[in-house]
Amino acid sequence: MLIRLDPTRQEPLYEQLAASVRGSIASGDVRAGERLPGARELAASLGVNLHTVLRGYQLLRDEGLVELRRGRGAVVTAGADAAEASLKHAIREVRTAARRLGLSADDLTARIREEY
Amino acid sequence: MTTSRTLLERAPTARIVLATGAIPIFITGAAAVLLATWRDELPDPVATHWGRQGMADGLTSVSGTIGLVVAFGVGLGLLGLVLALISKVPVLVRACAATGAGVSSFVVVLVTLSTGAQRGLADATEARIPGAAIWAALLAGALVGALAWLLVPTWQVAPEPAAGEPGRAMELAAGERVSWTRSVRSATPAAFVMAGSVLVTAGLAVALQDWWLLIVPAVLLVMVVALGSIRATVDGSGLRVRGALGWPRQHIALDTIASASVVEVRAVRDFGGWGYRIGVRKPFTGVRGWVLRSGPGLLIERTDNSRDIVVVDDAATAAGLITALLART
Repeated sequence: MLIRLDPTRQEPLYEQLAASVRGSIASGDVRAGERLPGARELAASLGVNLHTVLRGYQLLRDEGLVELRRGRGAVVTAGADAAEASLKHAIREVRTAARRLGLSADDLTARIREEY
Repeated sequence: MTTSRTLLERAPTARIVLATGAIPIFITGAAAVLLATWRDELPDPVATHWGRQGMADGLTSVSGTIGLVVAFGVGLGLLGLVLALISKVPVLVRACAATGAGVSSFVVVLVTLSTGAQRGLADATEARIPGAAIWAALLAGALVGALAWLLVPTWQVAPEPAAGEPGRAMELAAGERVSWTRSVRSATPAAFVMAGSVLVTAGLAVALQDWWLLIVPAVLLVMVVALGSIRATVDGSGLRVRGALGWPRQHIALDTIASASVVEVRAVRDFGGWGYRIGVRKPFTGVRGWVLRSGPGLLIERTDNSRDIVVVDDAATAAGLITALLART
């Protein structure tokens, strides 16, 4: 699993972290049932605040991609759907690209509807 | 990038001969002299073999015992010397020298102390081996082994041609924070071998009813769990490897790394098995590292020319990241 955080990008670090994990699940790099590195360990490795990692993990939990268990850390959900993760990943990418272009949510939806 | 210490250019043959030739011969000689001076106080024959609960169950004449001490003491030391001289790779040479000198002193000290304890006895069949003799012999062996290890300095070996594909540098933005991590599980045959050895040694302990032998399967079990899976992490600080229990762990600092590449590893063929291993075959001779299974390996070439390996999936990404991090510093 490769996690890349670029502080010069507008997207908050915890979202970038969640996006990296999501991408790894989507590509099959990280499989269901696999344990993610401990938050403290990962924070030290990336040189970021522990809370950044925890927030990223919580975001993934809210999306149903990982389960957070006391003492066991973050485990990729058994039902974590690679296709679903892949779609979520793509949506975030599209959103980032749209924001960069200054498109509003409505503009973006319209553009997507055109293509659908 | 420079190495912190200057290395010898050639193998320190004189030091090797001193470590696992001269030292064992000296210790053996001293023991032989000591045994000879005890001759009048010793029963003849003396007990030299010990059965259950440390009772004597084998006897040898005093002269025979001295002969045995000399043969084993000198022989084991010289065996270590021969192995050390033909192994060529610094770490293997040091290991052979330490093992040769250590095992030789263990045997010599053990026989000398257990014989010395029989002074004053009329009949050696009443002798028991003093537990302290075993511990003292183990300690002496460990100390002499450590001394031999320290006596043989490491030296520079001509770097072998890189065995693998050099890692293609990953593109990194300035200031970007990156961490690559991956866990590796032991290969199935390795797990079977380990589980089998736990069962066999435990069964042996039960069959012999020598309960202290249970230490062996207990230690093996801890090793099985600790090395059942490891996690490798590459980030700005270098490469980190840690076992499932948080131990064993290793950190290879980025500034000691010269380059990273990817190689295909066959555990048994290239490393003679699974675990933390030292390579025995070209092109892996002297490569040290974590071989829990066969597959792609991350090969680290250090600035002091030593090489480390971690067999792990997606080693190409790890090698690419290290290459990029090295280029950034």
